[in-house]
Amino acid sequence: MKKDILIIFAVILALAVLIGGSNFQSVEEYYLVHIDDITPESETVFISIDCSDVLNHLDRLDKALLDEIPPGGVILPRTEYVLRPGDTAFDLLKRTARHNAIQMEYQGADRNAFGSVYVQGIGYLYEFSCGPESGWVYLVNGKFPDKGCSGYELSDGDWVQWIYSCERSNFEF
Amino acid sequence: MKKTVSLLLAFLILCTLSVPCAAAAAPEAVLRAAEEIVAYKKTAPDGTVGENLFAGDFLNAAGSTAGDWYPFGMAALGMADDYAAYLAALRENVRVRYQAEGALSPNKATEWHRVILAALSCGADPTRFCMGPDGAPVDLLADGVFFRENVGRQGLNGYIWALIALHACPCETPANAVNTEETLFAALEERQLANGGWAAAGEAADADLTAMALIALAPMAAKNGAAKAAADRAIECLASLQNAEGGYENGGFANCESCAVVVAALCENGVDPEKDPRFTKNGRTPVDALLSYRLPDGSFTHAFISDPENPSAVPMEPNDMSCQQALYALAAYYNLLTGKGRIFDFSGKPLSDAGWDVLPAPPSAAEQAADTLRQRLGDFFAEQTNRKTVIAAALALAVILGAVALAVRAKRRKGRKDA
Repeated sequence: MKKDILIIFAVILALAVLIGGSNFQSVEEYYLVHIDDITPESETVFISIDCSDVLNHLDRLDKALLDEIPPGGVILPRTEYVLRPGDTAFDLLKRTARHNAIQMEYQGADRNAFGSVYVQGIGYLYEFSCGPESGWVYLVNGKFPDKGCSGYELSDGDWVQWIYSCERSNFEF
Repeated sequence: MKKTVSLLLAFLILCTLSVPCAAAAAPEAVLRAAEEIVAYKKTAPDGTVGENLFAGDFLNAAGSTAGDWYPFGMAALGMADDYAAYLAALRENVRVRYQAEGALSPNKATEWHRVILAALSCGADPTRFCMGPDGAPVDLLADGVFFRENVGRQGLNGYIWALIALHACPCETPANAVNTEETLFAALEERQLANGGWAAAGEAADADLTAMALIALAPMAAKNGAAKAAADRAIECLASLQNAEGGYENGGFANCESCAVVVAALCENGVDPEKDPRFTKNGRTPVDALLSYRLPDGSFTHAFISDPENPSAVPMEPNDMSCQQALYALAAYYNLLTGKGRIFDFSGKPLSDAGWDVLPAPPSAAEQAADTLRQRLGDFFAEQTNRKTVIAAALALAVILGAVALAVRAKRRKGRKDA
């Protein structure tokens, strides 16, 4: 009887420690926080987040945001990340923002009439934070894609630039 | 043979002679087109048609551009639906957003203006709309119009829609308001271009902005000479912007929404877009152009060709923004034809604040206990460091203990056997 109890106790202890020592995450959560290591075989992409145009239009900037502008307007320099299958430009931004603790707010595709994710703010800079023509735009390999960021699937080697422009009417599409 | 040929020839000649001419749309046809938009929206992918649009997943869009224009367009036509459900969802959406800094939006006053119109459409008083973070009712007019600092931060739309919301709501302007009808009109008047239109930048008038400004001016034209003059110039500008197909363009692209907002603007100002000769080009009117975007399933599409500046609008496919705008444009036109009031005017409508203080039901005791447990476990596990070492050590300990237990057991058994 005593030994049985001892065995049972040992098993329970092992289980308790195994469970206690394990980090339970949903699959989504895991893939969101886990940053893949870059290996020679990995497909990778690059992302940068830049708000330097704000420095050209400081007179238009919401005064409360002065402290949020990083030096040179570089919120994130060009950084390499592993490309996961099916990654969209938005998926990359979401993961990157989280990994670098950069504030990012977005509106789901079902909450606007465009059926596409709308990135409302990055680093506390929102549309119109720096004048009526200001807001975030994204480029892939130097060109404006022909779709919203949640619909643009990335390929190996792509460079996604998120740029805060204070003169969006002057952008050439 | 000769008879057949001559008949055929006559037929062919008749065909080439027939000039496409605009047949004025009967009110019933306009209403039917509007009803079919709603029927399309109520149709699930499997073909079943819901009884109400304001039900289920659609209510998740309350408080956003994906949802709010539907109660607006439908109420304008007196269409029956579950407005109470939409209102409840809208109230909760606003209440939650108000708990964060910036409330409905850090920079866009138009978020308030659109919600005000949706609230009015559901018969709710927007000045006592929902529970605010301090327990007092949220006053959407005060926050979005009367006391909104830098209401033009997002550009012209801020001034235009503030004025529309101000006129829509039958309530008094506070004496110390930062933005009043006068200041908002002045902001528009000083930005009106020489050609009578408005634009975000530059001198070329933009049809959409001009039409929206015209909607804002409509209630003022009767009693304000300057507003009437500005509105007349805007109407002339719109007439000059109409393209050869009778429609309107944005950035050079003919599209549904531009036609829709122009139709709505003309109707709000008492101009019949089908009968006013200024708006007939090559036998086509803005209403013809608008209806040309109608698809067989009752929805409306954005454009016939791909527009690189609007990547999500697939040509010849149903487009939600096009549906919304076409809906209220058709409502405005129907109301003009049938002698009803302007669709942006809620002065005669009864409004109530009943339900402003409704809060979501608190979770049951069981739900709260489960939530607390989940949180505590989460905290505990989150503190685990160096998991691999812990697991290894624990496993080793367990194995040792297990081995000890087994050894003791074997020894005891042996002992019993011997006994």
